[in-house]
Amino acid sequence: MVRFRSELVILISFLLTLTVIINAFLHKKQFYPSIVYLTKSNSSMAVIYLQAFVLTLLVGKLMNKIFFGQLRAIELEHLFERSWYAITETCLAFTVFRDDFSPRFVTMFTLLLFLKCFHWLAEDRVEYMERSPNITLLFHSRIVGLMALLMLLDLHFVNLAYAHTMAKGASVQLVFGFEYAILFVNILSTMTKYLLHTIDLQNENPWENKGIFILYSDLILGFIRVLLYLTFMSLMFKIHTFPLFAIRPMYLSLRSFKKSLNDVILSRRAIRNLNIMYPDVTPEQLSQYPDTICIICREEMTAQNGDNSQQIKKLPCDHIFHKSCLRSWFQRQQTCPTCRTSILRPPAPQQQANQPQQPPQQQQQPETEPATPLNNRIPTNPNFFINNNRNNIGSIPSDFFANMPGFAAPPLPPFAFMPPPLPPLNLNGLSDQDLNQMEGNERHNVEARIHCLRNISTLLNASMLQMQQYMNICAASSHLENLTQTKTSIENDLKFINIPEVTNKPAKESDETVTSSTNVKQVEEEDESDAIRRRRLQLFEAKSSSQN
Amino acid sequence: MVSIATARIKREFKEVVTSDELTKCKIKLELLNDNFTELKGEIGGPPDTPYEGGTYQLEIKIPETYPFNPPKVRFLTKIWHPNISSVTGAICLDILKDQWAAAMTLRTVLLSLQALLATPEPDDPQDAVVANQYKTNNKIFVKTARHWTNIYAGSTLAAEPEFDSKVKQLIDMGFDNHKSRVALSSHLWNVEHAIESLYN
Repeated sequence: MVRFRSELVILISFLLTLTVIINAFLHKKQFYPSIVYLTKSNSSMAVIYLQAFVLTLLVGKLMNKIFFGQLRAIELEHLFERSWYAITETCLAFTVFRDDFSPRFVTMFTLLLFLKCFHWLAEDRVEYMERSPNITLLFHSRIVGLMALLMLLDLHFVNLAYAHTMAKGASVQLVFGFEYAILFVNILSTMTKYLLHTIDLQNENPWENKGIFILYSDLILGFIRVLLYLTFMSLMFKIHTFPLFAIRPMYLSLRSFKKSLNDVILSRRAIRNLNIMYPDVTPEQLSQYPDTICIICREEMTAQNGDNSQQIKKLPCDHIFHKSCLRSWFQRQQTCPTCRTSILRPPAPQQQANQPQQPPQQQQQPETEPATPLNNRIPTNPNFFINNNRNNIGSIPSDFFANMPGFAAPPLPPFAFMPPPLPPLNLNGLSDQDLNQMEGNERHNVEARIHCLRNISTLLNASMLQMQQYMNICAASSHLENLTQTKTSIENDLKFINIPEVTNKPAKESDETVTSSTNVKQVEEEDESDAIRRRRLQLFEAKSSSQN
Repeated sequence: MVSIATARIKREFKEVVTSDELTKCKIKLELLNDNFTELKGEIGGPPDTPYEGGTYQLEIKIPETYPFNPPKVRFLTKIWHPNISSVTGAICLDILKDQWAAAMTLRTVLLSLQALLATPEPDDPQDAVVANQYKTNNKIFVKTARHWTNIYAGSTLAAEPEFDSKVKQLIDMGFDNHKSRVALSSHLWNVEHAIESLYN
């Protein structure tokens, strides 16, 4: 039914165009006059626009047939959803550029939208590639052809927009230039994903580093995208008005960039922890575990020294996994796959004492670290305490604090004493001997804490004293200031009194000279006017007497 | 290339199929294609809940990144539950989203979903209408859920005959069977309100 209707629409539009053109030729007989007639008549132009729209759709269908074949339901759904957003944004853009509104402008926007659709489809296809088991040669050639074509078109339009802007100054072409540049970045990211998947498919074994490559390519391209949007925003703001239509995509790209940055930081930290902090499991140790199946891949773990792919690692929570499996997991989440203990917090002191290497989290330590009364290395990072309290909440809060520049460990004053370590929270994995040892440590720690608290109280007392002294000094000095002020004012007053009032002429050098001089002037002026009045009166009297 | 995902799903599939614990809990798993990316699950409604006696079909899609990312699960059978969309079957369950851990398997996922049927979480709803009904009008919620179990999940336990007659009333007026049932369920089985919402 729908198919039939769309074919009908296509047919009607073709017929209409044909009649319009034939009509024009019948009227004007010659080529140029009929063209002029066509362009001048609104109704025939409307028919031709409709025809152009239908043609665009047809070309789209053709390209779809060439490059995609049958679209999947999910791809169509995405396409419609995204085109609605794109259309509303385009309408917003029209309001910004209503001065340049012309058929050509609309055509440019339609073309942009048209190309955007193919970018989205390519993205979806490459994503689908991850999940489909057998990729045919046809699929490869189609996707490579499409990506190459889109890249060329994007570059061409960026070039065009650049040339236009250079030649004629900033205009709507700026928008198109940036839009195509962003599309180009998108197709680049699709391309990298495609390449990574292809390499992965060629390999017999699952490719461990693929995740890392994807993370980094996301990060770099996300950064370029954010940079492009920021330049675009600032340029638009300078030249035209605020580009409202670019807000949503810009926000989205900013958010995704932030997310990929966060992912990279967290996974890097986790994998570094994995590489340097967690011990390898030897065959002897492995035999002590009742269950030797790696919970991630469900394969039996067999300890082989030296073989990198089968290395087994033990996490602080005493769970063991294949190293390669753990690495893949840490790229996504930074918790133990079995018990969800966050592995980003520094391990509890017990494990730390066994571990000679310095954990990466402690690299933020202040360099002026004083000697401590305890044998254990003590975490000075404030995160340590936060994380211990929030053990079960997950890794996000801790890295929030760690990533904020303001929350890096503040340099402690030289007289501060280090707080003693807190006990590890997970006691399940410890043997009786360990527990006993920890008990001993515990008493030691409690003593140290009391000592620490006493020190704090003395420090507080001292500072209270200092504050009091300071207050006294302040009070005294302000009293002194008051005294000097009153003294100077009295002196001024005295000066006033001592001045002899013999003449009106200003004789003082002080501030009052200005006011007094104006007074004098006024007096003089009054004198003058009096004199004039007097003279007039005399004249008047003289006149009246002479008349009499 | 044999990915971790395929290898693991193969094992998990065997685990579910051979386990007798799972026949007791009425859990089934079925392959839909040869490359272990799409499966069909089935869970029985837990006893002493409105879902008792029903069997629920689930669509399970395994992402390529499994087990590092959770499987995508949704209900194919229509169900009246605060955490499951009555329209799409989408599920609001933390372990299928951000709380997923690599240690989980299809078996634990199916068992968790069964547990979710037994203990709804109306404060974190997927279907706001159902959650609201659950909180404010629990009696009607239980009846409605039982009715849906009866109609859509093939339960043979006592249905709600008065609900059926109300639905029939709307069908006689020319409305679609399912649409009228949804409208009635969302409006506390008030026929007038349901008709009003159907006309709008």
